[in-house]
Amino acid sequence: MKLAIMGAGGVGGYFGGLLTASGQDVTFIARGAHLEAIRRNGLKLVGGKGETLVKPARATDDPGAVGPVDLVLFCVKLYDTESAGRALAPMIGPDSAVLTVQNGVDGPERLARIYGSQRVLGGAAYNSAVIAEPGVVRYTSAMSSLTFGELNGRESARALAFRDACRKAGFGAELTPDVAKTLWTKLVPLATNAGLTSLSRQPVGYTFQDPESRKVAVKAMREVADVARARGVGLEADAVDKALALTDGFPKDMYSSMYHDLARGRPLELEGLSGVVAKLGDELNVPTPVHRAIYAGLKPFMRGQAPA
Amino acid sequence: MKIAVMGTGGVGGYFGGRLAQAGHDVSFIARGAHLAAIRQHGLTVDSGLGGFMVKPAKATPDPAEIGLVDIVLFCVKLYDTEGAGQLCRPLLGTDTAVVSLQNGIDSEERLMPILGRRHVCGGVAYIPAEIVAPGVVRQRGTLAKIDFGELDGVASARLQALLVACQQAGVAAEQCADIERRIWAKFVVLAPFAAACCLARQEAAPLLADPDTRRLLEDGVREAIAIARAKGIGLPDDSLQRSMRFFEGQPPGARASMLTDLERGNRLELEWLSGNIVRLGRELGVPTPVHEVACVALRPYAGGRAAGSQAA
Repeated sequence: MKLAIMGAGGVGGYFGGLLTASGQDVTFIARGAHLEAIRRNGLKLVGGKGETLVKPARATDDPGAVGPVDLVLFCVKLYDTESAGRALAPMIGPDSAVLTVQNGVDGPERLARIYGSQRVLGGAAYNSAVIAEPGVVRYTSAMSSLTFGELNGRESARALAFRDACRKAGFGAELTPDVAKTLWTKLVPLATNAGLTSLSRQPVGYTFQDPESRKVAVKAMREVADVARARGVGLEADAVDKALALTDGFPKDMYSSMYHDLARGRPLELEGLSGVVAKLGDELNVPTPVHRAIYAGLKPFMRGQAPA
Repeated sequence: MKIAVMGTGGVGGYFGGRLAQAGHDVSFIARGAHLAAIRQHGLTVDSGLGGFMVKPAKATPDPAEIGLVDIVLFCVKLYDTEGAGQLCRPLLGTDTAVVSLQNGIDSEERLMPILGRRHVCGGVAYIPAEIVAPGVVRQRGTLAKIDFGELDGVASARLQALLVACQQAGVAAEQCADIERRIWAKFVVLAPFAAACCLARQEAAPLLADPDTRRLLEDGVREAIAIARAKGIGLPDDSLQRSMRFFEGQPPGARASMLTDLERGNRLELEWLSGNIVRLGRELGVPTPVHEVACVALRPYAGGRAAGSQAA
């Protein structure tokens, strides 16, 4: 498959690196020092399962130089969705597809506004990795898989082909007939963990183990589930219990990536996490006081600024 | 009139300072560098209503040196209530009134077992003020008023005497028959303001300018008003609107002092503000999600940096 990776960070760099190493034709779209390092030294994946050097790794900041691809794996931060979405246009030919595995729930509809829903697939990435230094992606968890599917729920040839490419590259891949369910199920723990660890500037251990904080965290998870159900998303009955079991398995000293962004004065994905929960809650008349308070408390830092 | 000021911060320094300047026998109880500076250079009050100096100023760390007084203005932070209350005992004659000008709703309740019921009066300070340097307190803008009253609502001679002293000193003051209601009326403004300023790390102006942070503040006020009503406190129907108008009338740079404490790594009054709202909410069956989030997000900093918690 001819693949392009839009955004070669923790998600794109990790999965794209493994796909490259397995022999797929992959081009990374990246910028700045990270791009230079990948071009010069290749892309290095480091972590518990050992080091993988992907070399050569093809990388460019110019989608026009790549030409049409079979599939763009779209991994940019939510706040870059529209600009990166438009920038990838030269890679879209008559048979090209874009698969967004961004956080949040509105990536697919935002890309569909640009390319139409037939070209867009949606899904969730389950991994934990960051750019440790230019050209180096560090993964901190053995968990690594993608779950994705067509927005109309059908099992398509292109989805199957990409699933098989992923499996061949050595990481988990599942098709989902219900992308919205997949995204909202992930949002329950994600928005809560990101929001509360950032608002308190405290790690997972405090957020989910302090008895009072845990109560608030459970409320926050329920708010996400309530909004999902009010939207007609068929969330499992035990979605909140499963989310809590997931966050309980996180290392106690772990922070969310949004906290790391906050601490470094970088832009936050807040709008697509607690922001979307609060906004849809208002529209659907579902109370979301915890996510609304998280959203308000962090909004002053959303566009990035001096270290908080 | 003989007055002791327990806690010479912004509130105690300003009102005690005015009373001293008017010729009353005022002793300031203070600690550390602030005490040393007051003893050496006097107490400087920088004020939007006209600054002044009290020099010499009687200041001590030990109330026992002061002897009996007519009035104690009790102005320590809420977390020091019990400790400072104990220290006040040598100041009490048969008719001494201890007027708490603290921020919370339970100071009187907490002081009664320590000082005895008849010594405890209610009070409210309306003043943006703080220590800006050792020996120097600053009051911003033109707001500087105190209300006080006996807890049973009866007008008393001792508080009438305090009222006259305030009037002579040019301090806006009122003796009230409804001091509990006034304590709550201030609390429903102050506690949510402290919570919202600290959650968003913002001063009043930006907090009000953004619709989402403004709503955070408004929701926090709503929760506090609901608690007051459930307690049977007769707040006006338009309390929410009044509160928001009050915030809008704040001078530039206005902020909750708890935000300053958070930034400086000082202890926070959180437990007696949002913490009490949450506790009362649970007792009374009133939901208080904004204050719950405030407690959870800020409690790691409530002990101050010296207690080992991290920078906020």
